[in-house]
Amino acid sequence: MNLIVSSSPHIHGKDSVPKIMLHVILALLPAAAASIYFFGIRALWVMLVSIATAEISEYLFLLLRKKDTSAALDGSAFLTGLLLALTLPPSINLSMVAIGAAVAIIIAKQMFGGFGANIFNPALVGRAFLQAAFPIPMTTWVANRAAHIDATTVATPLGGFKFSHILTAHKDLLLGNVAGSLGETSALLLLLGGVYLLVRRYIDWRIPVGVLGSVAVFSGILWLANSNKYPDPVFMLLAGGLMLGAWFMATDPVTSPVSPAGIWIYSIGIGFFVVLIRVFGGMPEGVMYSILIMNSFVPLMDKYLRQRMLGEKK
Amino acid sequence: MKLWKEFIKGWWKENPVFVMVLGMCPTLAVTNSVKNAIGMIGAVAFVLVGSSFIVSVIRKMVPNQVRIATFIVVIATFVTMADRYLAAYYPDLSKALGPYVPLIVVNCIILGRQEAFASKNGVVASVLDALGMSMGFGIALMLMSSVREILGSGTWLGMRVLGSWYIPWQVMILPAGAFFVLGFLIWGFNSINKAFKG
Amino acid sequence: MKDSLRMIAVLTFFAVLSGGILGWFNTFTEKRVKENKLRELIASLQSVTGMDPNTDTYKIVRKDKDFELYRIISGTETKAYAVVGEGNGYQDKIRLIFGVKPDFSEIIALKILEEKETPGLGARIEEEGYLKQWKGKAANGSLKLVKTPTENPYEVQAISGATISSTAVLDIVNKSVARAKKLIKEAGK
Repeated sequence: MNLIVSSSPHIHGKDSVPKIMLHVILALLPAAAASIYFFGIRALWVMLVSIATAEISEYLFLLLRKKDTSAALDGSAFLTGLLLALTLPPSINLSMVAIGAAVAIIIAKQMFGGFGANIFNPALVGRAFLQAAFPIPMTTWVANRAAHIDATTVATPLGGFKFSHILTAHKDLLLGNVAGSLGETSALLLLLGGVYLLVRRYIDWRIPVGVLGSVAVFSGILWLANSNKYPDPVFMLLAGGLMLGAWFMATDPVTSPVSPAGIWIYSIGIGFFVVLIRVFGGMPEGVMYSILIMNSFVPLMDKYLRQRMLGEKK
Repeated sequence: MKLWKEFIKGWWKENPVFVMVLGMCPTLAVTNSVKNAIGMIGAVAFVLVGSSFIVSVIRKMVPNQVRIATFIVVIATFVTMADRYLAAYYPDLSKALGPYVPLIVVNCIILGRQEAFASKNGVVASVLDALGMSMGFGIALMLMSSVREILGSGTWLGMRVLGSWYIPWQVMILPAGAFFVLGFLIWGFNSINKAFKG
Repeated sequence: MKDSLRMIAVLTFFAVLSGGILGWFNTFTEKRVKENKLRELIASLQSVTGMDPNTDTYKIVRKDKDFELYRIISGTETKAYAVVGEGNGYQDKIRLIFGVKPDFSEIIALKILEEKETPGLGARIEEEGYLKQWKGKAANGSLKLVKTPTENPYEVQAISGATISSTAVLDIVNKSVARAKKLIKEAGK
């Protein structure tokens, strides 16, 4: 048998981007469905507005940049819209959702050169913009339907811990029986989607392992040092947007490093900042900023930590 | 005719903010409201015109080796006068502008014009150049602060321009908003230039 | 040699000229600046202690960088104390002034002098809705922060979403009350 092995770079089939995107979206569907179950039809509206705005912005900007507009259908804008929606509080005004989705696509993605050229995760940039633009609606959380019937505002598990020192039960965090943004309620369903992607090898196992592992280790050290003051590592892993961030946002192939060494630094860095912000920072949650901070180091890591060819000099 | 050109070039063609990207510190820092921007424009125009006038008058007496030091002394004199004047007569504005008035000393537009123009040209041309550059700076700051105040507070010069339906984008009056607006304005500026050339 | 002498001469000439002009300029701005500061202080004292600037006088008990204490005197009687305190907020220093009854039973009013908190969140410590609740709170140095509206004189309600700024204001008040009490006690001995 005569096998011919070419050296890298290997060329991929053109259908690979839409295919990967489709599977990531599929993996997110259980969590998305759960958010509709927990927060009602309003959650569906948030997702629809976010996805529609993302797609329209993508199409218009490809047109403006005189690029092939069929790229708007590769699923990446759809995914950005869905991810952004999952990071938003269910009570948010729909016009704000549209602004966030437009910022995500236009400023964070198209202005950097479109798919594959962005430095920061677009959905997180959209969320960061909304957080800075509308701080009050972005931190107003309604109780979820399973927990309370009336729509009063409540604290998220992390907010509750930070400001009132109330720990939420692990079971509630796992099943999603808590207040929070659309996609940060059920840790179990996100885990399910993440494992699906892992099994199909669409994401690098090192990233979720590095992020979740380092959060567990760093918060574990604090917890062992003073278990009255610091929350236990299981709570830290299950609460807030960590599951969504670790499995679906930090793993974005465009904004994560290429080399294994880079990936370890990147994912442990995210975990470190998550613990730092949650425990010592002014805000209850820090997954978004942690990923954005480490995103900014990725070009540097790709430059200095790439695997060198045999015999290549520095 | 030539003098007229010196006057208008700073408005658009050689706009200190959008084309030369100078004076970024006040452009980004004090444009969160139109009122602050007007105060800053006034202070910069006073310092720029005053020091351009003095520098072009003394340009032949100053030895080349100490020219920058001399220019800085002249500029610092005008800046200190502007700062003290604001503190005495407009205490609220002076408080709002904070350290950015003393920082005009290191504003590159001013030292740049002394070095590039006033130290080489006559008094009339230098003053016209300084006036033109001040207007260019003013145009840029007014645009920046108008966009930021309208989007960030729903007001313009303290007057409500957007109805109560509008939810202000608070990010626009934060430092991050300054970078967004500056980027979009430079984009628009370059697009217009391109369209007129092409 | 001649060149360097000329350099020194020119630079010295302009430096001296500049100094002269600024000195002359300062003579008439400084007076105004001082007047502005005084007017501001009296306006603040008036709004937090209800001092009547026509009949009442004030005396500086202590003036530090991060702490000031004024005694408001009506006739021969101490009408109130005004305390200026400073501490770290979310972004930068918060500086505030509040008036207390002479026996330190309760706070008369509180006003923020300087803050650079986040607009829309922490900056709401300047809003009337938040500030008016301070009237009548106990000036005992151990006020507590709560999340819900409260009539209790030992509790202060936080601004939702701005717990850090609210805590900072509370800490500054508690700390300054303690310091003022100590100073007055020492002066009374």
